[in-house]
Amino acid sequence: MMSSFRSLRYLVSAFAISAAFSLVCFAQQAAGDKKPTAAPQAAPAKEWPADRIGGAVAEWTRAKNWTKEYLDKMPEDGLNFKPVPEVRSFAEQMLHLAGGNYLYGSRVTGQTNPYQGKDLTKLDELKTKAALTKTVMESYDFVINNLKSMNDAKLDERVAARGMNIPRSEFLTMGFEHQTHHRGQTTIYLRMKGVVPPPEPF
Amino acid sequence: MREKFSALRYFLSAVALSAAFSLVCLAQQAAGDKKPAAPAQAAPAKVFPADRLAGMVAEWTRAKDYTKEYLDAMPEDGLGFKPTPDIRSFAEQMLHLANGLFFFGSTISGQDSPYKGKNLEKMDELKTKAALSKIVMESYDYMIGVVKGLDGAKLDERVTVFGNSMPRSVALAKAFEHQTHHRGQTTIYLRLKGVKPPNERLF
Repeated sequence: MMSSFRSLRYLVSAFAISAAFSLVCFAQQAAGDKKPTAAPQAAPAKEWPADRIGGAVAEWTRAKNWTKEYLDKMPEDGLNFKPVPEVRSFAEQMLHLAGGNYLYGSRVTGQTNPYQGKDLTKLDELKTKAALTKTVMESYDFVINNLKSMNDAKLDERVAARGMNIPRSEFLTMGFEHQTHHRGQTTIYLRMKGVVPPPEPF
Repeated sequence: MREKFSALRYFLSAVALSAAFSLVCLAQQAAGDKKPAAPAQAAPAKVFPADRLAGMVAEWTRAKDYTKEYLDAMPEDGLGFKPTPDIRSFAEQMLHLANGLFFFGSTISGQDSPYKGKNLEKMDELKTKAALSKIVMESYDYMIGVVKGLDGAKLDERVTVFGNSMPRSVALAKAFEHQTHHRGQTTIYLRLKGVKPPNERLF
């Protein structure tokens, strides 16, 4: 009897809570329809790192994970695939991207490019799925790990390149653009190999 | 006689001047070979903008010009081209890119987009070369206008995009990434149509 009463009480409580949530939900919908200036939010928005280096590390880490998904999705027999004969293969696009990460990364951080003078796209031993993935991930780690040893003030330092004094932060932006541009191209390589590419992560 | 002398004098002057220029040139080459700390430069170095906003306007303008080259490079009969049937056509990629610029620009500025509630990708009247180029360029101009309306403090203020709170500068970087990603894809569309894509321009 006691236990049955307790169950009933739980059931009633559950109904009450559920009704309360529904009301909140309806209220939010109604508020949403009216487009208020400050709509109530169920969950707080995710917080962005306060410092620029922290933000850059977050973005490069997202970029790294996204590129990893591309590498994972391409089957081994697609690594040498080219949509037309005169362009880079999938592996060569990824190695070009990695070379860019090292080049721009060294300009941003002042660290020596470990592949200085080498063209990764010509190194056939890197054109297996395992070696390719390793090299490309290492190139992102080169940027990310060296960024972590910098501070916001160093980002504004200028270094000479192409007849200009350019802020280190600008090389970071260009390096980001470079890898986005080449990863973007490989989206179509995946499609042409019958693979649905990874969605854009925000 | 007098005329002849005059001509000779001009000739000698010209030779002397020419020799002088050669010497300067040789001296500069020699200096260049020795890589001195402060080499003499004929033209002053280009200056990268000092403030962040001016730098961003420069980058967005470069992005706009680069996309314009893609639009120019694709022939009219390639606008509906898709490498595989289940993806966006060239025109749809470009309209998706424009959608993104209007969306991010509106979110970053807090103003309604002029195409609010419209999906440009579905508007067939935009799928001619003239109309497509016009709307895509308009979307860049919209974004550049938004950036010019900001100031350093506003760049660091937070906005909410897809439920994530982030500084405006980060939202701008994501907007930039979005257009780079989709323009990048269309590189292969051009190649498959037998067109050599525009050279990457990172400056």
